[in-house]
Amino acid sequence: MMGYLILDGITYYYQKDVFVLRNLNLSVNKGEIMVLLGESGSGKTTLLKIITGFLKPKEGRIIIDGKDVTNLPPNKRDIGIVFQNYALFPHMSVLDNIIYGLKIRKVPKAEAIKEAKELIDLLNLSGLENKRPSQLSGGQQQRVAIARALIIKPRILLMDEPMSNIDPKLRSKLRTETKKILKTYNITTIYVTHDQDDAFEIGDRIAILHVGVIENVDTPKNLLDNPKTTYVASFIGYENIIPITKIKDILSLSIDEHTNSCTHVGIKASSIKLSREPLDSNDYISLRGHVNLISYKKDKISYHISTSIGMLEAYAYDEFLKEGEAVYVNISRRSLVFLK
Amino acid sequence: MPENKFFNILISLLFGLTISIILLPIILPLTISFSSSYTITFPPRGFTLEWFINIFLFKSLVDGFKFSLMLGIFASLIAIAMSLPATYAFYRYNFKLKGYLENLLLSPSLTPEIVLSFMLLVYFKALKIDHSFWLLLGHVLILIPYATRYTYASLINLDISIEDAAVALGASRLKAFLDVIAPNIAKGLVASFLLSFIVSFNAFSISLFLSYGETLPLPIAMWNYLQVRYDPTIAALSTILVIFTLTLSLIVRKIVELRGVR
Repeated sequence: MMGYLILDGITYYYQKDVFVLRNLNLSVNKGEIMVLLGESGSGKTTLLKIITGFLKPKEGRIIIDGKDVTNLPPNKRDIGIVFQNYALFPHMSVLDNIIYGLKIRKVPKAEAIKEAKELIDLLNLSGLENKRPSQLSGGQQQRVAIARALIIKPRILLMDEPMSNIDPKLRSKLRTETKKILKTYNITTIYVTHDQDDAFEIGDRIAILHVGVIENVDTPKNLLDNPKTTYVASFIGYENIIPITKIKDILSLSIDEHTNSCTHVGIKASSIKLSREPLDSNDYISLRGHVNLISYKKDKISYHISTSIGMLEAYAYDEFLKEGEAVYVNISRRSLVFLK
Repeated sequence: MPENKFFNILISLLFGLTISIILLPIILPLTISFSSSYTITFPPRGFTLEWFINIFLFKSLVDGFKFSLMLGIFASLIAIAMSLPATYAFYRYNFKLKGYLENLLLSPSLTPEIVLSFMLLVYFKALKIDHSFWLLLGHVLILIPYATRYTYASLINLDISIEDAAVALGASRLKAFLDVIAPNIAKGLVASFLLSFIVSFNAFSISLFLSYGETLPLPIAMWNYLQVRYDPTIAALSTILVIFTLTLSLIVRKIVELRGVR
């Protein structure tokens, strides 16, 4: 299936050879919520400016709905943007904020207000029409920003860290609401965030951006179960990442096509079983080790075990081991993830 | 903090002292305006409003007031028109030498006015610039730092992304500026105008050096008057000027307050 938004070989640098984005490719389907997840410095902001047209890529093309928009200025791209701080116009009422895009398009005021009314109902903003942005809560401001962006019927909606100004306790509820609105509208959305909770809750797919390259694009579930690269695995919380050279013999792996280009193996702490005797099962690889460090998490205990393949972290729910004690680390074969 | 009688008295004394240092030198001499004595003497004797009427009998003072008014208005408008694009660029973009350029625009206020006045006189003469423009150009130059500072202050609190938001919604850069930036800095610009105007209206050395011809700015007209006649007319005029300047600054305060509660 041909993507609705295609980023084709986007390259950007401020100085030659210091790449911010490097031959970046991404294809987003119509109606899909694509999360761009990356730490600060990953190139998120630059990519965002390139998609919206505030920056021009040094190389590559941006295609929306089959049309090359690389050379269109931002005011001709029909991309709705929800800014990080919402960027509502402080001197205008909520209603005037929402209909601004239609005013620019010379839509008669009565018609604009009628269209705004629909969005105001959909976004639960009734009664706030005459308020100033400064009189609204963070969540309300966010909904006004979404309404203002949606009223121009953009081809793509771009949301830049929209939850960063929201009280952390309210975020989860708001994510669900936001996702519902986006799905009701069936709008193709690029959702930029550095927050993994954000990404996994709201995204249909997540693209993980790392030093100017998209490392992995997949559904939240596949990303968690099957990360493709070492960076992605450690980013989303694989506690144990072991160089393949160390573990190759123990696994009695023949270097086959599957593992050929892989450099590391990822093991989640939660998929390791600890026991005093080795588990007698072919599904597990058992290694003898010693408890090196015990630390307490909110709902479990984390054991750091030194083994022949290095330090491994594993969880247990009770404190049945002491520091220095011998223990068997049983790694489920099926939970091993091969990483590039 | 515990209630301490001694401490409270000390604070009151300090407060009184501060007030008297700042206010008394302005207010006390002004009482001379009402003195019925024919020379400037302190403390004043008697009471009369004669000196206030006297101001209007001297054409040089009345003309000086009108001239300074016009000069202040035009110089402030030009200074703001010139500094707005620069401050906007400082606000909007990051570029090489930005810090140096900011300092350059502020530098006229760091140069002693008398030095600046003298250099401008030499400069304008060398360039053979028409005399009638000297005062205006000179005033614009000394106002640029003030206009820059106050205009910048009104921009700096504004969220830069509202302009991008307008552009993303389809507005051109110019339209975005007019629709969303201008209304939000309008009050700041008015405040900036009034403060620049006060600076121009009070500027002495630059006006002294660059004045030419019959009509002189008010401070120079007052100076000339004092050379010839040492009567309380100038005190009466000073009273009016203090009230005038005070009113302007109160208006500025009001505007800035309004911005605060927006």
